[in-house]
Amino acid sequence: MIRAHTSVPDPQLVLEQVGVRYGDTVAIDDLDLVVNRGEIMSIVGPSGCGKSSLVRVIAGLVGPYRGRVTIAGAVVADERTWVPPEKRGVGVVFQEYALFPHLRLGDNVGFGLPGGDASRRRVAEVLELVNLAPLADRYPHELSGGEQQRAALARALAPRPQVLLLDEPFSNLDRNLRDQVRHDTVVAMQEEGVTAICVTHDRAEALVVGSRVAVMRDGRLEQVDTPEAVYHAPASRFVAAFLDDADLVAGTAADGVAETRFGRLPIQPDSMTGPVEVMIRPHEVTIHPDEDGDGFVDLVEFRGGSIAHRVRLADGSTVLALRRHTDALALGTRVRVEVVVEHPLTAFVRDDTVPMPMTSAS
Amino acid sequence: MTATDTVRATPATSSRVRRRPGTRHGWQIAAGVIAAIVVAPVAGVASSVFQPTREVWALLWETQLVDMFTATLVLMVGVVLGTVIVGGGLAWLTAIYRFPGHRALSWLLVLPLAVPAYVLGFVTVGLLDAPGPLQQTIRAIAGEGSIAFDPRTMAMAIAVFTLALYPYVYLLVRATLADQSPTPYHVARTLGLSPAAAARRVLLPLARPAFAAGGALVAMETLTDFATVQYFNVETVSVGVERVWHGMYERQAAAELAFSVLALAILIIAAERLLRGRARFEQRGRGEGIAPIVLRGQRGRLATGACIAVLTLAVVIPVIQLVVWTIAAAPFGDTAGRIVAHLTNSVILAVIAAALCAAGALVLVNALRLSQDRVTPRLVRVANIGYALPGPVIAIGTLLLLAGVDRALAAAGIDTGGAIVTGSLLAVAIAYGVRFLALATNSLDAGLERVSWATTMSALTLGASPRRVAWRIHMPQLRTSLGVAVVLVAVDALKELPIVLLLRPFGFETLSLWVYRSAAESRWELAGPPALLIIAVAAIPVVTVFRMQLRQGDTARTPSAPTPAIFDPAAAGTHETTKDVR
Repeated sequence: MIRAHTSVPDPQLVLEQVGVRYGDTVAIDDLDLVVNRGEIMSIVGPSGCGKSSLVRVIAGLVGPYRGRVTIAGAVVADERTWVPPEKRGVGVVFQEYALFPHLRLGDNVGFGLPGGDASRRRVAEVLELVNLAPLADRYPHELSGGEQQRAALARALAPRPQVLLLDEPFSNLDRNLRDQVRHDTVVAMQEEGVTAICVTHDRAEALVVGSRVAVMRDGRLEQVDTPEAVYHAPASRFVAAFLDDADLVAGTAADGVAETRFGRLPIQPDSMTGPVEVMIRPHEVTIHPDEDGDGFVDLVEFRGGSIAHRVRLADGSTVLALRRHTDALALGTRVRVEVVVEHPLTAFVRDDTVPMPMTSAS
Repeated sequence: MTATDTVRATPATSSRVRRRPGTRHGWQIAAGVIAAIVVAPVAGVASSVFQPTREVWALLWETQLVDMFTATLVLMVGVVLGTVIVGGGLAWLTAIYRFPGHRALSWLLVLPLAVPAYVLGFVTVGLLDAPGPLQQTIRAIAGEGSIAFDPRTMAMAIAVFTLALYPYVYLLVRATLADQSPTPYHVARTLGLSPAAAARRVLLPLARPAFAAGGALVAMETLTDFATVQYFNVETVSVGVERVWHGMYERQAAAELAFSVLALAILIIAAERLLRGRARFEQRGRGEGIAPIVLRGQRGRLATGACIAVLTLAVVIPVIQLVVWTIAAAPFGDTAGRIVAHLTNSVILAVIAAALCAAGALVLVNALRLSQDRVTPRLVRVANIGYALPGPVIAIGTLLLLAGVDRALAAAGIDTGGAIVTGSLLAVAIAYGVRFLALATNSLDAGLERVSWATTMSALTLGASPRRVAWRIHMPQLRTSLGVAVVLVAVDALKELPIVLLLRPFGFETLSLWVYRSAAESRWELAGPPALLIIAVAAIPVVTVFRMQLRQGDTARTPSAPTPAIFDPAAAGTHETTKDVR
C-alpha cells in the first residue's frame, strides 16, 4: 500500500502528559504523542486500552484531567482551557458512521460547510474522491455499509479538518469489503493530505493503514514507530505478541548473538548479555520432516496461501512455523526445526518470574 | 473566503477559561431559568412551611392524615398496576400481533385519552348509582331491595382511572415496540425461540423505559387529581389539600399538606429513574419493527374482543350516556352561544400551554444532550417537578409570584392596578407551563434517546454550534416526539380543572369548569353537553396525530398479503450492519 513520506517533523497534533478518567477509572494515563502534518497514525490495542478515549479527548468530546492537547499550534485543552469540539477543526468518523438519517448524502457531506457555491463544489469534490458522486441524493438508509462508511469519511473530510480521527472505521464492514474500503480510505486521505489518526483493534489493519503505528495498552503507549519497526523490533513482549504470532525462545546472549536450541541467532540490541528470550515469527521458522527431529506437528491450520504448523518440542514447549499450502505436513509428523533469518531478532531480558508476554517496557 | 481554496482557520485558542470541559454555559443557564420558573411558585408556597400551623396538623393527625396517605398510596399503586396491565397488554397485542380490525383498533385505543377521568368518573357514578339506570332496571326486574350497590368505592376509582389513563402507557410502550430494530428479534428467533417467546424475551425488556415513563405519568395524574376521587369518596392527600383549603380556610396548612404530595411525587420520579436504570436503548438506522404474528380464528376474535371491550367501557358507554343526558337537557335555548364561548376559551388555553411546554421541553432535552456536565440533569429534573405538583399549589404559588411582580411594578411607578398581571391569562399560562412541562419533556427525552450520541458529536465536530445541532440534527428527528408532546399537553390543558378554577380572570369560563360544577351538583344532564364537547375536541388531535403515526408505522411493516411471520420482507431490503463482536 502507498505510504506518505513523513521524514521532516512538522507537528500537527501534540499530546503532552494527557490523562483522562471517568470517575475513578483511568482511561488514559500520562500519554505523550506527536502526529506530524499529513501523517496517518494508527493507534492499535486490545479492547479497553483507551483508544476510543484518545479519540474523544482529541476531538474535545471529553476533557483531560491533566496534560495538554495542541492542534496546529493552538492549545485546545489543558488545565484551564477547553475548546469545544465544534471549534477544534477536528473531523471524526465514528464506528457506526452516525450519518444524519434525515439528510440526503449531499446534505450530510455539506453539513460542516458554510454553504454557497464554493461549498457545493467542495461537496462534489469529496463525493468524487470517495466515489459516491452519483448517490448524492440518496438517504443514508439507502446506502450499503461500505457506502455509508465512505459517506462518513467524505463528511468528515469536507471541511478540511486539521486532524481526522477514525474510530474503528472498518469494523462494521464485511471482511471481503473491508480491504477495498480500507485501501480507498487511505488513498482518499492521502490525496487530501489530511493528518489522521486511525484507531483500531485489528493489528493487521493498523500495520496497513498507518505510516506510523502506536501500540496502546492500559491507557499508555507501548511503542510508536513505523509498521516495520513495531513488527520486527517490538519494544516489549506485549507489542511482540500483540502484532502477530510470536514465540519466545530462551537463550544466552553475548556479542550480538544468542545461543539457543535452534542454534546461534543474531539478536538486537546487540549489547545484551546473559539470559535472554529471542522473539521469532512463524515465517522465520522452517521445519523439515525428519525421523530424528526433536519435535512433531501437533496442530495444522489452513491460512490460505500458507499453512501454520504448530510443533511440539521434546520439552513440551511449542513453536509455530509457516509452510506453503502445497507442502502441508500430516499431524504427528516428526520434524527438525530451523530458524532462518536475514536480520537480527529482537531479544528481551529473560525473567522467569514473569510469564510471557505480560511485561511492559518502552 | 471559499471552502475550496482555504484551509480551515486554526483552532480557536479559547480566551474564556473553561474549568469544566463539556459544560455549555448557555444551555445550562437556559435550563436553569426554566427550572427556576417552575420552582418559583412552589418556593412561594414553600415559605409557608417555615411557619407551621400546628393546630391544623394536630387536628389532621387525629382525624384523617394516615387514612389519606393510605388511600393515596393504594390508589396510585392500583392505577399504575392497572394501566401497566391494560395499556402494556394492548400495546403488546397491537404491536406484535395482527387480528381482525387491528389497524382501526390500534389508534382507536388511544381515544380514552379524550375522555377525562372526571368525566368517566361522573358518568360511572351516574350509571351505577342507586338511582341510576342500571340499578333501577335490575330492581324493576327482580323487585325492590334486590340490589343495593354503592359505586363510590376505591375499587371503582381504580377501575375508572385505569380506563382513563391507560393510553399513556399504551402509547409509549407501543411506540417503543413498533420502533425496535428487528435484528435482535431475528437473532432470538434463530436461537430457537418462538415468535411470541422471542418478542417477550427480547422486545419486552427493551420497552422497560417506556413502561417506567408511562407508569410515572399515570402515577402523577392519579396523585394530583382531586375531582374524580371526590366522586368516589376516596380521600387522597390532594382532596385533603382541597378540603383544608376551602373547608377550613387554612391556606397555610393546605400548602403544607401539599408538600407531602410533593414528597410522594419525588418518590415517583425516583422510581421511574430507578426502573429505567442504566438502560440506554439506542436505535441505529430505521427501526422497522418485527414481522407481525397473525392471529386467526378464535384467537383473532378474542384479541379483537379484548380491544373492543376496553373501548366500550372507556369510550362507547360514557359517550352514549352523555348523549342521552344531552338530549334530556334539550331544548338548549341559549346553550349554543354559551358552548362556543367556553370552547374558545378552552382552546386558547390549550394552544398556549402546548406551545410553552414544547418550547421549554426542547430547550431542556437539548441542554441535557449538549451540555455534558453534572448540573444540567439536575436542573432538568427540577423543571419536571411541575407535573407532580397539585394544581392548587401551582395556582397559589403563581398568584403569590405575580402579586409580587405587581407590587414591584407598582413600586417602580408603573401602575397596573394589579389587574394586568394577576387578573390575566398570564397566570393561567404560567401555571399550565409549570404543570405540563414534564409531559413534553418526557416525550422529547424518549425521542432524543433514539438519536445516538455519535450523531450529536459528529455534528459538533463538523463545526456546527450546539444551537445548530439542536435545530438541524435533533429537531428533525424529534418531529414525532414533538407531535406526541404537543398533543399530550393540549389534551391535558383542555381537561385541566383546579388551576383554571383558581386563576381564571373574572368571568373566564371553560368547558372543564362547566362540567365540574354540574357534576358536583349531580346535575348530569347539564354536564352532558360540555363533557361531550371536551371529548370531541380532545378526540381531534388524538385521531389525527395518533392515527397518522400508528398508520405510518404499520403500512411500512404490514405485508400486503398475510405472509409467514418467520421472515420479514421489510427487513431484508435494508442494509442493517451488525457490530463486530469483539
